[in-house]
Amino acid sequence: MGAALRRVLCACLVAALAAPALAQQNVAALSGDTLKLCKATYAPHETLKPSALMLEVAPDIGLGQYGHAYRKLAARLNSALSEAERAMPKVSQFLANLARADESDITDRHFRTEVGVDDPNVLQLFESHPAQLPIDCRQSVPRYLVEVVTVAQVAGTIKTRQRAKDFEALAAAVARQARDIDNLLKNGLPMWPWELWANGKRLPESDAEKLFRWQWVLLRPTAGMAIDTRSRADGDLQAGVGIEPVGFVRYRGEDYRAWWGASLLVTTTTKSGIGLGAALRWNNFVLGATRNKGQQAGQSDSTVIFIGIELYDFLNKQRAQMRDLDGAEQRLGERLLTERR
Amino acid sequence: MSKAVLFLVHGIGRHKKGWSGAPDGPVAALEAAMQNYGCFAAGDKLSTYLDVVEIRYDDIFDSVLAQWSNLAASLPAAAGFDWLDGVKKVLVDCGSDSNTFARFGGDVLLYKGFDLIARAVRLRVNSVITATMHRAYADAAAARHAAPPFAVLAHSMGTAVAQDALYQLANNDWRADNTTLRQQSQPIANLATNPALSAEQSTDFNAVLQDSGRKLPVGLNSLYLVADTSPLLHRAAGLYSHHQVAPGSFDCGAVFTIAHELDPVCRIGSAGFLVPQRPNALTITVKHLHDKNIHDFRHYLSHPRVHAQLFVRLIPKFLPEFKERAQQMAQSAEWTGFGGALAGQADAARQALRDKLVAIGTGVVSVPLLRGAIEAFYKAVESV
Repeated sequence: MGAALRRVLCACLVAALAAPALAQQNVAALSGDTLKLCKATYAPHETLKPSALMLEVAPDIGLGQYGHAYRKLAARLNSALSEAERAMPKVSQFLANLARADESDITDRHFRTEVGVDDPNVLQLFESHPAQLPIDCRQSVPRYLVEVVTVAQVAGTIKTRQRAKDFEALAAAVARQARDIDNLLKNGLPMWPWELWANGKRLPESDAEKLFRWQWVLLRPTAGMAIDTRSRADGDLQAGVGIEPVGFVRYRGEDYRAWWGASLLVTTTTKSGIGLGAALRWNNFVLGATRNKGQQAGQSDSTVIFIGIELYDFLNKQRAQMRDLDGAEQRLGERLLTERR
Repeated sequence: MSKAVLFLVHGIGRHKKGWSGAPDGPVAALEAAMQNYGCFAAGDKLSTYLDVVEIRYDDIFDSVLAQWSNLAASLPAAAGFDWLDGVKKVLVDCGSDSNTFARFGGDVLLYKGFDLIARAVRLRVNSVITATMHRAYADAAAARHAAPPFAVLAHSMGTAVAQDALYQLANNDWRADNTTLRQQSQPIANLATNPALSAEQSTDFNAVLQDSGRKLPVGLNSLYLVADTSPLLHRAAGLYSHHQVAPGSFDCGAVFTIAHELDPVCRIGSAGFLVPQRPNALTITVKHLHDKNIHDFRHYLSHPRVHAQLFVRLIPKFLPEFKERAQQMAQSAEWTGFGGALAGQADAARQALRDKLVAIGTGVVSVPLLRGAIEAFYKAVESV
């Protein structure tokens, strides 16, 4: 049996085997060296067999020289078409776009035959592109379109490989930005609605640009305890709210869990009235001091120490632990004394 | 050829993890629709034909509302600043009643009013899309296949979220490596003149340099905008559906805008805006009433004109003849008027429902009015 005949028989066998799997599909697909298009199976031009095309461009793909690969495909297609076919506007546009397919504006989508929006019997290559090329499946498919679609299928595979690397970098970059904003909103200093609004105004237009590492504090109410230092009598702890008219926090670390900051501070208490000063912030701890005007005639101004509620709780816990420690030491001392006696 | 990938983006309201596969979710609606066509076997699952990827972002709104509620609750009563008491009450209410707030369009206000929230939402959507696409491209490249087609099916506020997210994805240079390359381009450019390079290598070298600041097109096959609100609610400088990567070359292959003639949400969300024409774009307007909640995602997808357009683009075995069958079904009385749960309803009740829906939000176009219309809509359909 001659080699040519064997090849023909092999091609028929491949087509026959592929046919059941590809039957009843409305898109183009390669199966071995045959093309399924519009419910029929075609054998492309000898020089455009997908296996031969892939073999020719494999070294270029291996070296990442996609431009070379696409230009080789374009050259092969160009040679397989007649002069009249090449001169058709849609075909010449396809050839030109194929030759420059390594450029980013051409994607693997352009090489797929998409089902037409208005008419599902018409497939579109280069859909929504000036070079959109319709294939009407109700009519017999001209030979040159079989060659074009075959090469497009191969080009789509190559473009997939080219874009796979781009998507790896893209996915990583998006994940980084998504993680940062999640961390800010979940771990960062919680923002009141107006702070969230104002800090949002500082964002760049592009989500690809890095998220800020410092945050405005604006008209921020903070619960805490105020201690008037005027006299021992006035020095009782008074629960109250401090307002930070303006300030900032600077985040430490990538996860937005830790920060420091400084703000102006306004306090108001029933005994000491309104005072203006400043506060420092270390994570959730706030410590500030304000200068408060005397409330009665002849009463001097005083300094009010403001302790944020988290810091106050922390100090209280420390004091309780110290008391527990003192108690334990005392009990131990008493036991030792008893034992010695 | 691998299965097409379909991203599902939800609209307003609470959506728990697995929302798309819930019995009242979009996947169940599409699976029910599949039973009308002979190309699918009885009981076929959508996942046999499509890789469905649900995208969820409303936990971001919940988390912000909870944070505000906690902040407000941390303040003592009678804090000394009168205005704070009012703020405290509003925020505690928001946190404790977040379901009502979200259902009545609170999500719309949070997304449209707060840049930080909008960025978090967009990045959530994009992180799911890019991670999925990256995996699909890597698998296809390893198997020496072409990548599968990707489509986005978004509903209500999700249409604006999807448009904004995809616009950001397609319009920015996300690759830090390229930024570095651009910054170094001058010294590197000098290397292109290296006499050791062949003319062809030199050309390639320069091509890479010129391409180093490029944007990466998303290359979506289809974008389905169900009850489209994106003309009113989108925040980006443009709509992804109309984004061109080069003159006349659209990033997205085809765009389908799906509206219900009585749905106040899509009426207000897209009316009064002049969205320019583009090739391969189709508007499908349905008018069936199978449920009082005509705004529901499922209600839209059940219509033959809607799901057939999705199946024919994404499922290769859904041949043109099945789409023709869908078109025939769409012309029947069931799909042009009352049917489903409302089939047996009295004429007076039908008219009352129509009147209420028509009365909501006619002729108004603004974000607060959209939110008001959503509230009025839900109240109307519950009381009818």
